[in-house]
Amino acid sequence: MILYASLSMNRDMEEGMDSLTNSDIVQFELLTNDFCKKSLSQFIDEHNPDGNFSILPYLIDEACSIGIITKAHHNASGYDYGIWGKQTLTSTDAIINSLSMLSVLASTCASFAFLAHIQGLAANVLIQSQIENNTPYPFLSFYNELLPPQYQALIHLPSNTLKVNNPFIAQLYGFGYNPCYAIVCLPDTSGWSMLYFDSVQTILLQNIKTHGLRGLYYKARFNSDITATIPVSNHTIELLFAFFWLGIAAISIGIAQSAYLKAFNYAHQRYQRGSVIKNIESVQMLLGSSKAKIETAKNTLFSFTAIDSNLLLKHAAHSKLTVTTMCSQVVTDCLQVFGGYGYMEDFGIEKKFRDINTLTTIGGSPFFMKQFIAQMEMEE
Amino acid sequence: MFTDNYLSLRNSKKSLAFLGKLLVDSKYQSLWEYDTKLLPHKVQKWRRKAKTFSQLYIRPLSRSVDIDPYTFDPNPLIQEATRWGFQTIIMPFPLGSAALFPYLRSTTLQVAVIAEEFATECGGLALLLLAHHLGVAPLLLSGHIPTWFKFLIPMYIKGAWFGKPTTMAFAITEPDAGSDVEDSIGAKDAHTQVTATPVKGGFILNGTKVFISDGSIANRVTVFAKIKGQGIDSWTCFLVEKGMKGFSVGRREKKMGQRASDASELIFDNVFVPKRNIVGKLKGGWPLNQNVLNYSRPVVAAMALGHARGAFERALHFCNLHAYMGKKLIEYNEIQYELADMLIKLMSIRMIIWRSCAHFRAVQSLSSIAKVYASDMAVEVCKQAMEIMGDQGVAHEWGVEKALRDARLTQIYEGTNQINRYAIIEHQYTTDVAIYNVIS
Repeated sequence: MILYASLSMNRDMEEGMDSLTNSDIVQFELLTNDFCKKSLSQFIDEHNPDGNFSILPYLIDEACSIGIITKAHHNASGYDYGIWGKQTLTSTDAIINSLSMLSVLASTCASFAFLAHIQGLAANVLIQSQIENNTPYPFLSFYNELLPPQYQALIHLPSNTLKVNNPFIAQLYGFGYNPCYAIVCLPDTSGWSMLYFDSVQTILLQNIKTHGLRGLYYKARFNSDITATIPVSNHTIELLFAFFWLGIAAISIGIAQSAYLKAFNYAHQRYQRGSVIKNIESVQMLLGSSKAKIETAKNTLFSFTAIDSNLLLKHAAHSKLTVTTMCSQVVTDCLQVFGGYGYMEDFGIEKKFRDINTLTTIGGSPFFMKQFIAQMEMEE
Repeated sequence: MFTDNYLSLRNSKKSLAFLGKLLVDSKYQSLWEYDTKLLPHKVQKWRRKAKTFSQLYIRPLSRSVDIDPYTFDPNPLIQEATRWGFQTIIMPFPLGSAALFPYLRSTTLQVAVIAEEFATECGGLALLLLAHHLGVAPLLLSGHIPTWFKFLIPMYIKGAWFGKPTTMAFAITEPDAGSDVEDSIGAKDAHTQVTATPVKGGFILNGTKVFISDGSIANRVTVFAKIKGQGIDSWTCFLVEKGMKGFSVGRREKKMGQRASDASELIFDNVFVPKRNIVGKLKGGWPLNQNVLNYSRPVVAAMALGHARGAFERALHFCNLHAYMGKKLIEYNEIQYELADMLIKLMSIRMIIWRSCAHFRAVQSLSSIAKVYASDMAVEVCKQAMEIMGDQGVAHEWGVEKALRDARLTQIYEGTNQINRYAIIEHQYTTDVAIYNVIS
């Protein structure tokens, strides 16, 4: 286990610090950065452009133990201030902290960041429901995502017991890895229900090849009826969706920033037209517009003030739509700076392109987000 | 929804006068069919033939080859394409399989038409088949009759008459010279390193070419090299044949998309090329290269169109297949709106490509305009297709995410879209701006 200097900071937290200052957030960023440099950077190599999944359990274990990934157990390091830890329910600073950590993780590997994100979401739901779980890498978060939430809300489940052949759960899709436990959120007759599986025996999983975030997408079927439903309030669900979208936006910014940095460095090294390409106007335009978009995206994402689940949900929806779209443009422009090399796996920029397009599409693509935002506005 | 609407023009036309009825379009045919009928008769036949071929031979391979391109044997497909006449379509009858009269009006239209159909099913396999034409183009465009007799005509007779394929590749890109060898301004300072040293009876080639499509499977490669000690204006095109001593294939690149076609490194280690293998004239390589790119850009644009059309068709199929709340996705207005928007883009891309192919010779700015517009729009259409499919859009099984990966390459190769913009304005600068300056 790598020893991090910032572990001492975690102890301070445990000893009673109950709110975060700006410098704490910076410290958490540094901690995450350290983790990225020393451990996470080994996840992606020449032979595994999408990640070496054999070392993933160790990485998750390590991230849990240093408090980056949240576990739903009061003794766990990240219980309070890990990504989507308990404090995110009450503190905007804790939300900002989670977003910053996700961005930093995503700048090294978006797949891992996304995994940490959904682990955090699942832990957050369990924390809210006061369920303790201390397994090392437990979650697979599912949602019935044929259609986005605004349509899902129209689905009414017949009863609390779901039959195996129920069309709503017959084919669920979700993100996770090597799951021991799974969480499925489904709308119920009286609101929302969370299905919590504490045994993988109930679920049959099939990995689905995807555009980006490869290796994390699963199709699931259930081999017995499900009765383990836990009712959750609309407030919880709103927060969950808000965190989900905010997290995706934060990961997008991390990807865009690292793509920009790569393109910027490449532009200082690659010679064409008799000089380094940073002197070529068309390259400058690509880099200039990328930088502007990244800054705008950051400002958009971090511009929320208070935790009102409805307001946060709105902000998250706006961020998911605009930030992911802007970041997607940034990454495609940065790939263009690389020319043919950008299209090859060696430079890692093509993975960023795939990942960002996947993040833009999943969990409410821009097409659906526009409708969702319009519907929210009209409801008011 | 639309078909049973009694107020639609088609259903309500009976209240029109006889001649009025005749002037209402009542054909139940797709836009593809309408477009096809705009083409000369023989080209129509090629379009239909290419569609059938793509559905029969390309579609079944598309997804599996994308997942594992390294164990795929392309020869049966190339052989089949040759048998159908697609690998000889760059030359007109009787030497090749292109229809003669349409060819005399446009040299690129027939290749562009089949490129769209191939790429609709699979970008990688389309490139695999079409990169051959790029390799052949220098032989044809050199306009050097001895070259035609030595290489082109025998190769085409073998292919068109006996169905025996000869696969060719086109090699210009080098590790330190990508965009520079595709742009006349950058070329002055290009760091090209493949050199040809004159020796008795021929030249010795040394250096490395990279990202060569079909590089590992080609029997012959048209290689551009500068004469040792001279600049890029001494570029000469050489025909290098598989098996020549010192010629080898290096690493095969791992690409994001269009994976069925290899992008390989070609290594020239003291390769002796006899004088007879010079394509065209000595030091005639640079203009030849530029002209080849002008001819190939509309075809790349057509490939981009194919990728976008493939994404559109799959998204349409998906929306027709999936129902929600007892209603098919395709019956939702917002989905219809998005699909219509994609269709508008597809039509506009096709029109701009066919317009750019409307001249006998490829026109620099028209070719570049088609390439830039088509590739940019194609990426947009693919993204829209992914968006309306939600999470399923990113799943490989639907082929839409693959179309996006494939389409993204069309913004890069054959000159990045930035380089192509220079080509467009270069053309305008030498015509409109020059004329204005003279007048003023």
